[in-house]
Amino acid sequence: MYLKKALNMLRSVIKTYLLTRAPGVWMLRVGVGIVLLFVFMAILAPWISPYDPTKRVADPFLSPSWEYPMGTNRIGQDVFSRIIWGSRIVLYVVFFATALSMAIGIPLGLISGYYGGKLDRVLSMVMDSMYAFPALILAIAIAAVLGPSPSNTAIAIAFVYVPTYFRMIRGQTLSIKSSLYVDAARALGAPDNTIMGRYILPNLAHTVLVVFTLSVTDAILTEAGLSYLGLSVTVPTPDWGYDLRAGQPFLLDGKWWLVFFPGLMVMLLAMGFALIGEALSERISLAQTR
Amino acid sequence: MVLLEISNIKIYYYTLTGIVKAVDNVSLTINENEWISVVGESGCGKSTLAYGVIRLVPPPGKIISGKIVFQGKDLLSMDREEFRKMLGKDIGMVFQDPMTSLDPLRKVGEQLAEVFMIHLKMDQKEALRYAGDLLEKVGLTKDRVNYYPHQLSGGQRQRVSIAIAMALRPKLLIADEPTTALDVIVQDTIMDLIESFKKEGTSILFITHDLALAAERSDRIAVMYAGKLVELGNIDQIVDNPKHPYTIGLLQSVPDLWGPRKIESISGYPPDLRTPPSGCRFHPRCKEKFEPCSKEEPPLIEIEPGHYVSCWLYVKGGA
Repeated sequence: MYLKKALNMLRSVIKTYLLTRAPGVWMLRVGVGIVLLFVFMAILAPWISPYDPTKRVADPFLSPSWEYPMGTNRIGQDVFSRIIWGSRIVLYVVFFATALSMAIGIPLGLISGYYGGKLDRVLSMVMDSMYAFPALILAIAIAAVLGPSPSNTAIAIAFVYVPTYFRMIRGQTLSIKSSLYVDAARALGAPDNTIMGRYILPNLAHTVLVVFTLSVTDAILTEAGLSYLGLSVTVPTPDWGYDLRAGQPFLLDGKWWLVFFPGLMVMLLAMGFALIGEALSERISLAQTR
Repeated sequence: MVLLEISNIKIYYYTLTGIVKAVDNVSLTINENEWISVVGESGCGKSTLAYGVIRLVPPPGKIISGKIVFQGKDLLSMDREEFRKMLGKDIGMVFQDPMTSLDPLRKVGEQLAEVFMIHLKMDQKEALRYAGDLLEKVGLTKDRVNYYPHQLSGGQRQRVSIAIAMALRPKLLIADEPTTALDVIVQDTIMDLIESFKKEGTSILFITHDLALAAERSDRIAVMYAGKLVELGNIDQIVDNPKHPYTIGLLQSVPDLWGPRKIESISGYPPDLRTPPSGCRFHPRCKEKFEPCSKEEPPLIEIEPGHYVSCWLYVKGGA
């Protein structure tokens, strides 16, 4: 029964968001297409990657050919296979990170905005000071303390994005809190947790969606940056950011494929999410001004 | 039997530009099974008074002093949790704007069911069954439980709001201009609906700016001006024998379909409640003003049984 409900919801989401003639819908379609491509790539990695990404399969520095579509790297690993497997790491880190920052940022923002007062002031101050810190530097510091591993990278990134969720949710909660239907809910005797959970939270879904897509874009770049700096995965795990760095010294020798393909993937995935975020925020602000 | 007793209540808004004395020393009692209407212009504090009774005065408003006793219990000194349990169960509230008083994201049935789930600890399935019955009670069909608020018209939504407010048969229904946003035909059917609940024993505190509407069905009318109660009496006393110049002015501003009387308006504007006029707050606009009016505030006196007025014209011996 729940499955049926979820499927119905999915269908209505697709219908209202993808199959319309609303302006800017192409952005959403392209964005969703790109993201889905990478998701399938990650899921199907064992079946679609032609070689083992961690093994030496050919001579080093072979340029792209039919046999090795994206060439081979310094150790003779197939770049294409590494790209496919690398999508797993990126998506894992990014989704784990955003889920974690949502799990912390949303409830805190909701409580802070709803109750207000001293708690709100203290929380806002803490979050603002976190926000004021340069994201990448903070992530580097955390990753350095926790040690390099994809999960720790995710925690570092999550830490950086908690204030973003907190601020947006708090602001929206403040505005929804003063709406008449929340007053009406109070007047019928609804306790605070009911008001927050059933009246305010569902109305925050739009905001969460937009912040999600926008922060995912940033998170992808941060993840790539961290692994570029060697703070994410350990050799020989395939990872785009790490491969970028590994290929960089050979760029001047004309081995462009070592850098070009991982970089292109990071850019494409980030662009996919950015398009979704842009389209959604446009749609939602349209809906609100109407 | 007195159901609700409001005594000397003061509700002020602490704004950046000054203290707005929205409700200043107002006393009012509501008896069981009585329809009492509070009438006044926009900004006279009538809605604030209603919000005060359910302790929902929006910030920066605060209840400064006074007492509100409901069925022998002091509402203002009551513990927050205890008071919450009374709201919706003993006191129901209907708001002015039916377009925004329902949660846009949830089906009306779910919102109705919420009352049962909160106060009677029902599970959602059982509560939804009651919700359907309730909709029939307010003149909508059962299948409307599956509608979202945007699928209903303004009148239908106000019916839903009333159904929510009346779900547990509270003793008191506070209606804050429930018909202002609706056209006159729908207005009339909503008034009928509210009256049907009164016939079943509920007391109504009806807030409106429309004296004609109030005169149709109320038992008693309270007239407010600039945060003060200026006149209080039963329907006949207020309509046929108004005493306060403001009430007289209000009645003259209603067109008389059958008589020769012309419509007359009250000149001027209601005062800024941050700096209310001295003495009687109505004196700058009053045609009958004389010496004591600007100096001292007139007391609320009973000039005939149950008819109270706050005006120097009726104070024997003057100030």
